Amino acid sequence: MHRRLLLAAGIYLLVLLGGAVAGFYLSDVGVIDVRPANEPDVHRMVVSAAALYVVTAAMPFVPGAEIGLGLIVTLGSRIVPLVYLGMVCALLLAFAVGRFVPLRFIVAVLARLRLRRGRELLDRLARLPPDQRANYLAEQMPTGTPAFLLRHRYLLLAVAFNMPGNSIIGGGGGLALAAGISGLYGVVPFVATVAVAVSPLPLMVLIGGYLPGG
Amino acid sequence: MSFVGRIGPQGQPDLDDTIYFNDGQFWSAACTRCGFAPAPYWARRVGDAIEFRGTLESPERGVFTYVGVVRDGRLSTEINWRRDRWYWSIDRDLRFVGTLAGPDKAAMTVQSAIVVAAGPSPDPERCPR
Repeated sequence: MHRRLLLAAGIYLLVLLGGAVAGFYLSDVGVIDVRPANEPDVHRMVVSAAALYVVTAAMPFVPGAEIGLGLIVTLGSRIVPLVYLGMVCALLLAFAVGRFVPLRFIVAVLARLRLRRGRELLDRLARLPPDQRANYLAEQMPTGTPAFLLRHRYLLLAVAFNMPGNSIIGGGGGLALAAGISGLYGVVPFVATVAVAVSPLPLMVLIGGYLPGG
Repeated sequence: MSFVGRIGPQGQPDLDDTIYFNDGQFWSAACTRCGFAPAPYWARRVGDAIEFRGTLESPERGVFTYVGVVRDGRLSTEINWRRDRWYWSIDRDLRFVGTLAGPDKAAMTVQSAIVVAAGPSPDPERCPR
């Protein structure tokens, strides 16, 4: 058992090290050099990418934070405010869809897009009574999650948005969609929760000194 | 009066360019191709040098602010390029270094520069990098 744990920890450390090395080189080669010659083209690309980012990150099981990081690596740290805004808009879009669009219609759209896991998530939620849908989220949290988190649904949602690997339980888009479907989250508190919950990564990039192309 | 030289990143200007001063206006051949129209400039004599500054604007590509000096037939100017978009602002320093050209080099008139700058298809391949 200990040997397996050590092996897992070793592999995890290697992955972290590999990521750090790749990030070091990507920060130099990845950033697009914006010049007077290409600025209008870069502008069109940024606006298109931002629109696409909002739509894709709103979908269940799409790793929105990772796509946002990809945009930052490609366009430099000056794009961080737009990536933050895009992620907030994506989560609000998913929430609004869950809140105002009939569940049956969302399931049909996801089935049409062949997003199997997203459809299965909504199928599970649809079978639950509305007051138990928020509990579903709590059940997906790792064992050992502090009890006070489970009692405060907005805090729980904020933690779930930032949990590494949350795309396994639906990603930011899936969590926001589930929150909207549950009907247990008010619009204004949800907006405030998202605005705060999405901010750690952009703040880490800006304050942490990662400034490619800045 | 015109100066033939190169424009580009501060360390290594790499694009052939000519800066013209005529009729109270100044313009750059390379920047004109990118939609930067001729504009008035300000100049003063300081000892044996002439200092000048001016701003060229393009509706698509932002603003070039020139601050330069002419001494011994040589023009050296810092150029700040700024482009504000709603999501970010690009702020970058460029440089032009050139020498006074003969009268035959002043082929681009202010009228033709205005026409080129307002042209329907600026040539991005020949814009400052």
